[in-house]
Amino acid sequence: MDRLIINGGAPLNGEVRISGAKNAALPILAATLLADDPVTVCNVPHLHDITTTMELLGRMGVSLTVDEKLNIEVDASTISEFYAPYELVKTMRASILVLGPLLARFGRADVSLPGGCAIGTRPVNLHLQGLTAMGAEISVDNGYIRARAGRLRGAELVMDIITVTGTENLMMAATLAEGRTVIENAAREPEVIDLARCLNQMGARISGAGTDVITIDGVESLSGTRYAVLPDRIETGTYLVAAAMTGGKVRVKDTQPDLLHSVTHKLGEAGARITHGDDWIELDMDGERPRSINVSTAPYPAFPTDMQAQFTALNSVADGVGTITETVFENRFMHVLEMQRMGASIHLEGNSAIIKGIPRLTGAPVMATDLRASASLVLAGLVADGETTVDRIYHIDRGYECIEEKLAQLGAQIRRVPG
Amino acid sequence: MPMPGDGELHVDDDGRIRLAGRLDLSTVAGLADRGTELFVQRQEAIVDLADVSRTDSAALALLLEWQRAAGRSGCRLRFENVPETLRSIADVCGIEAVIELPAS
Repeated sequence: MDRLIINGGAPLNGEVRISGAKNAALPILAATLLADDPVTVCNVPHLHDITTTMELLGRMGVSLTVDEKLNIEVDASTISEFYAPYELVKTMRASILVLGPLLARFGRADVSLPGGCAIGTRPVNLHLQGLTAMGAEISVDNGYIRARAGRLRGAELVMDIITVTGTENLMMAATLAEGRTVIENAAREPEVIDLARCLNQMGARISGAGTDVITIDGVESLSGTRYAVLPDRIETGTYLVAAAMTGGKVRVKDTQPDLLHSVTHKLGEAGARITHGDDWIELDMDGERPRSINVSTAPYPAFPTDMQAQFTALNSVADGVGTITETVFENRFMHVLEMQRMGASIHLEGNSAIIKGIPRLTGAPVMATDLRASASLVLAGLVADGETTVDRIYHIDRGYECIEEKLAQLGAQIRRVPG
Repeated sequence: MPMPGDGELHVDDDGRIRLAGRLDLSTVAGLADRGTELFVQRQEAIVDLADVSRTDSAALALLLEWQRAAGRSGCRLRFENVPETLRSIADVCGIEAVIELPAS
C-alpha cells in the first residue's frame, strides 16, 4: 500500500487548480443511463471511484469513450444488463445511484446492497420507500435489491432524514415518471443542484433543487448533452485550510466561491484574509498562526461534515482553544487518536472535540482511517516538526486527485512511496 | 518516410509497426482486424505510436485487441512512444495493469 511522507514546516504558497467534484460526477454518470443519446461528462476528477463507475456501466453493456481531456462520453443505448454486482458496490456505496435510473428507464434493476461504512450508518431504505411509492415492486433477496416497475408514477415523497444520495436517486427516477413528483425534506447540497442542472439540460423538468422541496414533472424521454461537473468544494476547502495552517498564501483556481461560504467565513474567523473572483479564492495568512475557532457541522448550507477533520487539524496548531462538534455522522473522530500521537492536545467529549492549540505538532507514523481523516493527517504533517508518514492512503486517493503533486506545487515537502 | 494520414498503419522494412495520425473511435475500427496478419509467424513485434496526433479510449481498445491477437499468435508485443494522454486514459479506465504502456 502506498504511503505519503511529509516533512513539515514549509508555508504553502502559489496556485492550485481544483478538480471536478466526485460527489457530483458519480450521480451525473449514473444519470447518463436515463438518456436516449450519448451524454458527455466533462471536468471529471481522475479518481478510483470514477473508474469503478465506468466499470459498473461497462459491465452493463453501456458504451464509454474517454477523450484526451478525460471527458467521458456515455452511450446507454447499448445496455444489455441491469445489474450492479456486490464486488463493485462493496467498494463504492455510490453504486446504489444506478437503481433509480435503471428502474425509471428500463423497468428493472438488480443492485447489491451496500455493505457497512466506517463513518456511520447510511441506510438505503429511504431510496426503496420512495421508489415503492412511485409504483415499483421491490424485494431484497440474497443481499440484492430487486426492483421492477412499469412506468413509474409521480408521488409525494417526504424524506424522514436528509439524504443526498436518496434525494438524487429519487430525483433521477422521477424525471421519467408519469406526472409530478415532489420530494420534501430534500438534500440541498450543491451536488444535488448540479445533478438537477445536468438532468434539465437533458430535457428533464426539475425545479426547487437547492431548496428542501424539489418538484419534478416527468417527461417521456431524455436526450444527450454535454455537461461539465462543478468544482469540488471540499478539495477547495482542504487546500485553503492547508494554507491557513502553514501561514501561507494560496490561490485556488477553477473553483466556485459561493459553494463554501461557511468554510471561508470560519477561515476568516481564524485570521485569514480572503479574497475571491468568479472562479478563484485566495487566502493569505501573512505568515501568522491561525486563531482557534468553534465549528459545528450540519447539512448544507451549514458547515460541511467533510471539512470537520481538516478544521480539527487547524485548531490543533491554532492559538487558543476551539471546539469541533460533529452532528451529521457518528464515529467520525478517528483522526483524533492519530493527531494525539503527533502531540495534539484534543479531548473528546461525546460528539465534540475540544482542542487546545500548540504551535507545532511532532512528525510521526500515522494511519488513515477514512477519506477526510486522511486529509487531516496530511495537513497535520505539513505543520509537524520532522517526518510524518501517512499509511493506508488509498482512502485519500478516493477523494483527492494528485494530492501530493498539488501540495508539492505549493511548496510542501511531500512524496509518495509505493507500497 | 511519408507521413501517414488519420489512423494509418505502416510497417517498416525492419518490421516495426508505426501508427500515425488520429487514433480514435472514428478511425480504429479498420485497424483492429489487421492484428491477425500483423503478428502471425513473428516472435516479437514493436508498435510505435510516436506519430499519433490525437487519441481516445478507442485507441486503447485497439492496442488491447492487438495484444490479444499477438498472444494468440505466440508473438510478444511491445508498445513504444506511447503518448502521455493515452497513458492517462489507461489510468482512468483502470487498465494499466493489463497493458504495459511505456512513456515516450
